[in-house]
Amino acid sequence: MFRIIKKETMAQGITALTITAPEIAAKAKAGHFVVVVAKENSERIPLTIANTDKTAGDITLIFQEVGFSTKELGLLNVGEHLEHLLGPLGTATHIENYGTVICIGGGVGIAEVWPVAKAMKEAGNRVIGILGARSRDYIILEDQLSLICGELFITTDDASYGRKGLVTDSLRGLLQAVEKSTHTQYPELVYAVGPVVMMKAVSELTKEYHIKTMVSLNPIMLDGTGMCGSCRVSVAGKVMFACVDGPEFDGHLVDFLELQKRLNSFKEKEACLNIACPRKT
Amino acid sequence: MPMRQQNPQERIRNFFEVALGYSKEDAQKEAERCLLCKEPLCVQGCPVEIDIPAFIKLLREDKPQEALSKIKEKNNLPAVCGRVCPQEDQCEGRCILNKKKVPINIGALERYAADYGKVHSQKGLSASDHRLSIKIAVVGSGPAGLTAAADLAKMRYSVTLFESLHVPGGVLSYGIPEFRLPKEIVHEEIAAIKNLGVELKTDILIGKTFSLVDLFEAGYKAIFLGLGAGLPQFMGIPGENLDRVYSANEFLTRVNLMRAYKFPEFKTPVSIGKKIAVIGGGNVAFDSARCGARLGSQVSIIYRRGEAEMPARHEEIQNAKEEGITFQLLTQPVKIIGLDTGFVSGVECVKMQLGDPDSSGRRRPVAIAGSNFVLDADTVIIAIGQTPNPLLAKVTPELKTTPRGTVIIDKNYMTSIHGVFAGGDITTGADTVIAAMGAGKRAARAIDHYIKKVESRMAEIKKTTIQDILSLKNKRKITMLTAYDYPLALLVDRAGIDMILVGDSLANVVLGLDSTTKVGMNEMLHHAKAVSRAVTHSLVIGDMPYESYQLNPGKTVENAKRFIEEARCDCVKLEWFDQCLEVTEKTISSGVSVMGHIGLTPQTADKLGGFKVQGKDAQAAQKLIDQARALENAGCFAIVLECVPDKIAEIITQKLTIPTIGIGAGMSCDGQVLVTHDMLGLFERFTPKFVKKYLDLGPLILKAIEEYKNDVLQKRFPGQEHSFSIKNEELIKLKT
Repeated sequence: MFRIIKKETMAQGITALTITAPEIAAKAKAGHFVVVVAKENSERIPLTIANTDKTAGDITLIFQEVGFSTKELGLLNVGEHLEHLLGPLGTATHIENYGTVICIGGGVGIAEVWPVAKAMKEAGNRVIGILGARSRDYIILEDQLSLICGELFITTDDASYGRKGLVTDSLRGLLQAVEKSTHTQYPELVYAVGPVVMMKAVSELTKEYHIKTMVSLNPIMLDGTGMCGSCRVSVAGKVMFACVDGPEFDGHLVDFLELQKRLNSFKEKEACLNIACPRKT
Repeated sequence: MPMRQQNPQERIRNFFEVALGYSKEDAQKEAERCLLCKEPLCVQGCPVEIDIPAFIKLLREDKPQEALSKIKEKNNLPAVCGRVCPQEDQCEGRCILNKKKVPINIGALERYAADYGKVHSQKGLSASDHRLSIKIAVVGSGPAGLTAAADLAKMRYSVTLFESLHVPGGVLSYGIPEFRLPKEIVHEEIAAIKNLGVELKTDILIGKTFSLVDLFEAGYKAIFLGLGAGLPQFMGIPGENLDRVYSANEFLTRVNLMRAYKFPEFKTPVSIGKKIAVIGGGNVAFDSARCGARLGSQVSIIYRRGEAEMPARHEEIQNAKEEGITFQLLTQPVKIIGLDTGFVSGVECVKMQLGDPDSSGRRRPVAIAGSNFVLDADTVIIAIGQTPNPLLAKVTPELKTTPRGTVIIDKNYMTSIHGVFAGGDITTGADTVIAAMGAGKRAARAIDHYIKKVESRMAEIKKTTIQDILSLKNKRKITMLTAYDYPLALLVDRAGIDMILVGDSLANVVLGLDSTTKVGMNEMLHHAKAVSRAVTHSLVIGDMPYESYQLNPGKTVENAKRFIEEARCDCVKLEWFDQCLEVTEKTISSGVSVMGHIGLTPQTADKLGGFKVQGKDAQAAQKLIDQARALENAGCFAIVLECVPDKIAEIITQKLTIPTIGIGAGMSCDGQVLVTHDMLGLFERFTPKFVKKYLDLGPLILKAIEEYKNDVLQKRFPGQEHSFSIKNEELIKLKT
């Protein structure tokens, strides 16, 4: 049983839970995830570890309440327990001093970019951040990321904050500026987490510029330990299990279209659950 | 006599158990048929060696409780085995009555005893019983792990069972469906194992949450890996990543472990259409097919050989047929066809014919050219086999595996990592529940042997004290060797030698000097420190060099203390000289223990007339006896006798209450010492008569060095395996 010691609403429908899990905290690195079972009959769902406090022995999960299971998780309160928690899972982000790294987060993906940006900064990189969301209210962790990123760009779909448009607009702007400049250089790495379409768009753009790009994928998972193959993705034409081989892959090699389709596998079933959803949103 | 079953029309609509088990009357009747053979063949067919006639006899006497106890002596999961064992290939296959095709239904009887017995409390060991403090980690709670854990708990070890999923049982929980093995039965069997004192920890993935090193550091003395074969195989044909294409593992885990058949009460969905194609002919394929049928779909099994070649149990094939599952035999899928939405719409197959037998003895299926056709299907389940999950091996490079991914073990079930054992599907690839249980059982025995060996060695590697040496006199011979550096001291210590002397022979054998008197305190301390760092068991003796006491008797105590405080020696050795008694007493009263040394004392060899045997006449012998006695009175804890006639050494040994350690002093001494370099053949200049050469290392080393030299000269070393590489793409970048 894993106790919830802190709960915070980051934005409408985006919740942060801090959970006592010393064994997981001791091993957790940027890029790792956990599998959560909220209640006895709940699904097993994967969530990226957004923050780790090794001294206190706790981890923080930040998630968007989109489906039944995340909504069910969002209903738990401080003092209550998660039924099951397994981790840390996946292959941790490869951290090294690349030089300049652009970290891009879209929506709740900002929470997943946060630990990576932090680790990249600690490794000596110059970190540039680009955060994107529907509107101002959905931009999370801006304060935390502004401390890490030398420059932080924000885009919103509705122009309520930052630049109107998509993260790729900001990214293109940065890359074009380098193109025209005589003294600035392209970033060595772009790291992007967000909706599949966003990661796809970022990867297509950076491919034009031959900039190495890593994306963290979010396919459907079941056990999270390489046992079922539910999370299989095609990378450079090869079948990979995101839970153990990833979840990070070279964005230039990922078959995003297939990933997007595989995410629809249970949509019909999910709809049926949402009717019975405790919050009926 | 077969068990009663739910009728097919009924059972196809539920997940309840198909076989209903024996009534009391059925069981009695079947038990009566048993011939209770004196030399039962059935037992030979049982991988866990259950005394089958004995338990059947107890059933015949209407003692099901006792029958269960008899089974449990060997089998920790009787209710499971009674249901899922392939008895036709094991006990029942060997039954003498099988010659007339009417074997005793041993599986049904085992199941009857287990089901009857479970309502009664279990006797024997319980969690509260006294346990050994020795901790053993069992990783994976499937059939192999559960069996190993239970057997080790019965041997009173403190066992922790680690499971990565949130529910224990491994394949019994996630793989085998409810209608073949009710989960309640599995949980009861596991509860019984927990009652033996096994501590179960779910939600821990070894390799991620804890490494194997973490487990050893947490005090586990041995680790058993029973991780099973959990990695699903795919065919590598187009369309395998379409929606509603499942590995059997995923499909079964959703349905069995996560109870998708009770969706939405249980929140994990499984998405299937009206027509399921299951690919494969083993038990896993049949479990998947029969789950699919119960979820309301039409199911066909696609198998590339014929029905006779199907590896599934005969009973399951019959059950599947009764449940309306159809077979596409001699058929091989070549492509899964999908819609634009990403969902499956069919499977393109090719017809096969059987050719010559392959390595497994089964006839190899060969594709018939041009026979392609499309099978209508909206869901595909791939059940063509599983291999071990590579995760642990990937993060533990020391854990050696075969190219198939199975973990390599020796005949004692030990992996390439000392103290780490493995058994079950992780070492064999996918096999039966009972085979894994048999492996778990034998591995538990091997672990017990290993622990006992380690424990007795632990007693041996306890640090030796002066008191230990004193108490060895008249009990057993004492062993002593020299060492001057870390690597050799490690080996001498590991071999369990009682005392290690950091001798002033350092001068000759290591430093190349011509006399022991030429080595000083600084050199001696330097080497003594290295030896102390290596030693955990032996008593370490610092040999006082000539300059430290004979040349400066006033400095003896100060120098002796340096050996203890700076070099961490346990005591010092002083050679006899004219002021020996005086400085020995002073040293001992300062708190430093002293070993004496009489006979040929090399530091004063010149005065003795060179390197020759001492005490050869009565007067000289008496002098030695007197010296020895005086040293004992001065407080020495032992005395080295060097180059003394064996009879004189015998007399001295008899007269003293402290041990004598001989070197060239015959077999009567309480112990023996040699210069290690001499007995290994590492010091070639001079070998005294009293040395026995156990090894001739010098020429061996010379040969190796010459080989190296030639390899380098002729560019045979280093090879690819000794070199580091860089990715080609990085090299290209470097060039541009």
